[in-house]
Amino acid sequence: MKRVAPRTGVTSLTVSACIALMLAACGSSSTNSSSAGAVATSSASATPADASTSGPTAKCGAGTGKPATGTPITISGLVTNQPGLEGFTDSTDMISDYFKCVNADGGIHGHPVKYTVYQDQVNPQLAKQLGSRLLAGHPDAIIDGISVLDCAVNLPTYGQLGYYVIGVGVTNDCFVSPYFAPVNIGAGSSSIATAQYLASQGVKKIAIYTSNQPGAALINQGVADFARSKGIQISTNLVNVPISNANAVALSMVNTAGSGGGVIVNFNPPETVQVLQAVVQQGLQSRVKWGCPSGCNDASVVKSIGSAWNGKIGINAEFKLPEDGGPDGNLLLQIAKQYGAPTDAFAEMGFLAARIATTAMLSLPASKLNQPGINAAFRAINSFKTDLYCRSWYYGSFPYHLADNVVSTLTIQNGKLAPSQGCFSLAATPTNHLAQIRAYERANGL
Amino acid sequence: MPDLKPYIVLGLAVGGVFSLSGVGIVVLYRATAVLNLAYGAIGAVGALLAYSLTTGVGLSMWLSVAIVVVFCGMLSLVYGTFFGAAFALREPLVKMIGTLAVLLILLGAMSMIWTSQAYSLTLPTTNWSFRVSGVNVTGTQLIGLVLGVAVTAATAALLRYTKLGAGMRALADDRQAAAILGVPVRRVEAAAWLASGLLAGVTGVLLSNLVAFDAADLTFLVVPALAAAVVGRLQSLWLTLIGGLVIGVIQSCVTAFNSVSDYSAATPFVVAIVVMLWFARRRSTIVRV
Repeated sequence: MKRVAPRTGVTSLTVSACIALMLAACGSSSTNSSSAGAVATSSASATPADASTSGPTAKCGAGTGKPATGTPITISGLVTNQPGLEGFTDSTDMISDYFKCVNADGGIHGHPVKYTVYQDQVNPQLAKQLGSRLLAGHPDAIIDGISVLDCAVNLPTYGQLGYYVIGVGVTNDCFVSPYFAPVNIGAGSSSIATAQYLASQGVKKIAIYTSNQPGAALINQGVADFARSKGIQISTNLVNVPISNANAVALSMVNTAGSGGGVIVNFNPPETVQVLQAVVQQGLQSRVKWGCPSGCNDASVVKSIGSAWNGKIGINAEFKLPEDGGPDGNLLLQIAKQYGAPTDAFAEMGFLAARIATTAMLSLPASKLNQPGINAAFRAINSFKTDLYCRSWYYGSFPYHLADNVVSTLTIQNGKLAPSQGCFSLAATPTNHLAQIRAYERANGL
Repeated sequence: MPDLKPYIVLGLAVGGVFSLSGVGIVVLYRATAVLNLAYGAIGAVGALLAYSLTTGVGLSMWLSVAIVVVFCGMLSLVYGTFFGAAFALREPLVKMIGTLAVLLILLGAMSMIWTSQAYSLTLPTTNWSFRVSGVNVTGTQLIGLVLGVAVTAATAALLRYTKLGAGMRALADDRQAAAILGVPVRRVEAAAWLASGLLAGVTGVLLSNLVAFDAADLTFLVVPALAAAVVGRLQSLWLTLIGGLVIGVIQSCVTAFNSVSDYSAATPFVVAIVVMLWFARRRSTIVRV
């Protein structure tokens, strides 16, 4: 029988503990359960309108009110799901729910949409495997959720096979390809828009704090480029998550920005709440101006940080609030209520991707509802109008994509999100290629 | 050079909770030779459950906290009773990997039950504060520091002066010999699992207020606690206390320097490695003499 004698093995066990420390740290960035998940069509019916919304409500699909029963149109996409990057699946949850609504409302000329989601992690090998698996299913189209690595790893292959992807852009690769049109502006441009808000508040220095993940340095670089172009001092900082001492980070933010400065808090929702609560604990809300990219455009964040932030923070809004009462906003709220989908900014991105794709597919004759036809229709979109954007959206043939380049700012009033600044043009910087994009738009009348 | 006093004050508060976690890990290890990697995950379950009891069921905050602390203790006890006993005669590495499985199961369950939205659990003591060296110290931060010291002292006294403590020390020396001499091994081990789980529940709730309220973040906050336990060589409660405080203070102070603040997360590793090297150097010196 083996004997366990802890004392004599203390040294070896201490070494084991060190190994365990490293294992645990690795786990924080790479462990989670989901490898791939399938989201199928639904036969649930959609109510034509929701009593809780005011004003008209747009229709999901053809608007016949009858469930679609034809051959399914297959659409697939990737989304990242891992600890530390929570919330990204809200985008694909909403896409899935949108198509349930489409299928219950006549589908695409009677054809239901079968949407399949593959959940990746920040692991290029896994992203490649899942991209191959997605392609092995020969989908008619690709609509991506918030996948950190799909653009970097799989986009060239998608393009070679004739796919023109509509999706949510995360890293810079998604914004510099002719084969991917993001419905959002991305964390980099959202941070620049937040810096524009702080500049409008007259700050002398901007300190940006971004969670340390792929592409984070480029996000900070974009803000630095903007600040320097306006003669504003800049301090760029990367913060590893989880944040072990949010109070110290909050104190450091204020000290770095200094008197008359502004801070951009650029984390995912849980870390954002953690830091903003620490700011309140230390009574620092009024010491500097505060700004937050679209990660703060989240009802759960606002609920958690509460009314202590009333009027004291500017939150970039890539899109208008669904609660503003427009037809598409009402439809989003109706789908969220009916199918239990979230309504945060990530979900709004999913809603727009699905709605744009559905509108394009509905414009086709039934005979062209195949891969070449659908992807050609995606690429041909040149003026998609919705009450959720400040301007119309297009796909286009330019290698750089940032169609949603007019944004607005929200703030918190009475513990809820409320408009603060109306629509304004996103500043052009070397990192977002907006100067070239605007020249392309002028040349093509977009 | 930034004024470090505020950062030291803030670091002591978090360091106290790291120490508390470290003590929970060391107590369990001394009695059972199990290095519990699931310690943070058990605390995370407790914190999220407290949120649900408070906001969903409508219980008062303190009642919710009391319930989840007991729940965490029972969760730990159940694992220790069924799996701890089954692994009792296996190598320490096998025992440790068993707890890694628990960590993954709990993390997956939390991801399913508590979805990705941001949560907030604010203890009433967080709303009470006083100023020290230019920073607001909340009641919860004070509790973190005081509890860390108090639990260390109480546990050290328990191990030294009580029959249960003597049993734990006997198990730490030699499990088989202790059993032959009449130490109720299963009962002593069960007490250690229960105590460790209770401490995991308390630290989970405190860390959700002081550090982060997210399943993954709380789960992997076991890292600085493990580092504190390494500083104590998985034996000394007082060195574990000091280790936790040092890690908390260094991590906080590093944040004040923008040039190195990116590396603050490495603090537990650096401290653990330095201490390991120091112990190794000290032992080799003794051998040479």
